[in-house]
Amino acid sequence: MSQVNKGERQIIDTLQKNGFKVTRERAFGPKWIVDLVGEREDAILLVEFKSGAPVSHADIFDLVALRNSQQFRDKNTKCFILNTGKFQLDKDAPIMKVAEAGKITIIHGENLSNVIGELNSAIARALS
Amino acid sequence: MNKIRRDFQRQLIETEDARNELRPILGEELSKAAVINLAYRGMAGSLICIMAITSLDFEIFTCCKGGISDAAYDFNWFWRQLRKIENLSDLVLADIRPAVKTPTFIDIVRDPIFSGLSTAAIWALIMEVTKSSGIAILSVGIVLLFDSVVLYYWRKKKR
Repeated sequence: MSQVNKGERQIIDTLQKNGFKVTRERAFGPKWIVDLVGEREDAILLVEFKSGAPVSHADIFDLVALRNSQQFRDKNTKCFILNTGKFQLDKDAPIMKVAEAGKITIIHGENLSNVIGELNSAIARALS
Repeated sequence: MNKIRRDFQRQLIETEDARNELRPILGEELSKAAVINLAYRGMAGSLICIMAITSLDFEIFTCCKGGISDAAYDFNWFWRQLRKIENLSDLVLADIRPAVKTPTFIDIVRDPIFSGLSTAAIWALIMEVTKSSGIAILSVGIVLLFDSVVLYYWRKKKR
């Protein structure tokens, strides 16, 4: 298991402050490894990190497939992709529409520290 | 996109047909939302879609009923073809995500090359020394088990 960097630590703290028990790099079968899994009595959060390149369709399809799998199908499971890097990813980008259709929240910022504030409100929105 | 459409010497697949092919895999909502700019059929039979991510980034999405090796073969083939098109040679791959599968203990032990060769070698050696098949079987079992454990952790660590 890799070391937790500062940005990732902050993300974990944010999830824990929201009452989630967090596990890192959790494997679900041979196909999926999720960067962060947050578990609370009423909800499960699946959080993926992606840096250096915009989120791809494959990233979204994978996460949707995992959420639709037997393990999560009947639970209140919310998915987030924290996408960091110096590239343009505005709300009108085609991939944002795909994420919206798959009910995946993409949060983009230059680095992980930049996305923490938005993650907090995104979690609140997703669970409201 | 126009340049690829014009210069790529393969039959285009209608985007609606590509979407229909993706529908059973992705579901109604996602297949409808995906922006498929161009779609082709790969040499190994994969569906190859060029999809827009942002205004500057595109994704080459390949999927195949045959499995990951066919899809990877077609991706490599398609990428090589794209790079041959004049003025497209400066295309850059930003992200590659191979499917992840860590081999299990059983995967390694049942690898015929590993288990076959080591069993034969150890069996022959111990038979030669002890002239007793009982001791040979027992020793082979212990050594094989030890080898498997070591190899498993070594390969796991390497990944």
